[in-house]
Amino acid sequence: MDEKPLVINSLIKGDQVHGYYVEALPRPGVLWKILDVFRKYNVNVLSINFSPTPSPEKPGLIFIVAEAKGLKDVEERLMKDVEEVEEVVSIEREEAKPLGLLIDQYHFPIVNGLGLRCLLTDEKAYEASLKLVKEHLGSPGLALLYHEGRAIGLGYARLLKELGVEDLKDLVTICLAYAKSHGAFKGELIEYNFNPATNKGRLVLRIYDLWECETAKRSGVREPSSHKTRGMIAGLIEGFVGKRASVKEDKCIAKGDKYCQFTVEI
Amino acid sequence: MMEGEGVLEELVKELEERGFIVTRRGFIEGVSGVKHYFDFIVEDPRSGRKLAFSVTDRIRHEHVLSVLAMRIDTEIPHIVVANEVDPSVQDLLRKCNVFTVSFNKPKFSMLSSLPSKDLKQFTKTVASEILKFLSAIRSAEA
Repeated sequence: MDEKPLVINSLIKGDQVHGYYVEALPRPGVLWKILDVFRKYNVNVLSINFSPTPSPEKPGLIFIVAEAKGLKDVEERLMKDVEEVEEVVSIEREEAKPLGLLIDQYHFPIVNGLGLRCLLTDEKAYEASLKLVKEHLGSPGLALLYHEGRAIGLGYARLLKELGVEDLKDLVTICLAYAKSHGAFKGELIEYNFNPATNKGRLVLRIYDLWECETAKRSGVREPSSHKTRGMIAGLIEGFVGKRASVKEDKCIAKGDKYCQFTVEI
Repeated sequence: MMEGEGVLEELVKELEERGFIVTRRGFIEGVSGVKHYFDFIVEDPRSGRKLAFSVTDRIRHEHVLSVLAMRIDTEIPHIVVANEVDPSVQDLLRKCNVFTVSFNKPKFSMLSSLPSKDLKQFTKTVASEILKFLSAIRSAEA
């Protein structure tokens, strides 16, 4: 599968585009009806973002970003026509902020399918924070990142146990998919050897495009750099099997490898 | 040999005479796999228990985070000897099993300038702090 970036509409240059929030009841064909209004006025829709609705009786929210070109004289009529679509409850325009930036002010908080709040931040913010920790705290700072990651991993292990995961391989597979869906990295389990009877084993995870090591590489670090992710993997496994796990990053993109690779000894 | 080196040598001698195994300028690998530097690693041969030991000029709020990170990661009690220790920092570290031995004599610029009569007192105080600390651990374990 060739992955494509998911562009979220939280911050886009708004001088060329307009954003609309449309609340509509989830009925077959409603999206087609709304988009047909844009077609009628010959306005190009660039992206659509919508959240699953909790029930068929509750309206869902659609955020539509359309090309500004051609909207000048027809926008008022277009919005009125959208509002007249039977299933549409409301339509509101998102006003551009200074510098012409279009910033999503309507969706809050951002949640995943389990209803858990997710925090989105761009990697520049993480980069600054990682750099600060590494520069000011040195090796204890790296340990701190590991333990922060470990606490997160322990939390995921607890959550997935509560959701009914009973097998370590399932746990790792779900977490790798989850990490990819949240933009942290793309990973695969390339070796799995765990004996539940002895509670011992060895796992090897190969990870591509790991944000933490990409950040380190950009900062000129040339050594294995995934302290937080290592901690997360350790915490995840430790929380599940109930004993300490050692996680080593054998390969790392920061030191020139094609991917990062982690060996877990339980 | 610099005077500061002499201070450390005296301290090692004192601890060894009291039966400890002392590794100077050693590293301890933490749970994270990160290796942490300590000026001394003192081991009680009877219990196998280790103490990490740092000698520094001063401990202030800006140093707390890295000291605690080392403590959490190595899971070994840590003693910091410093000329100056901010009292609130001392309390904060103590709660996390990091013990400080301070002289709070800012007129000394680092240990290298300790007069020889203070040197003896310095080593005895530190060794005695370590003994007290180990004894506290033993009592807690009993």
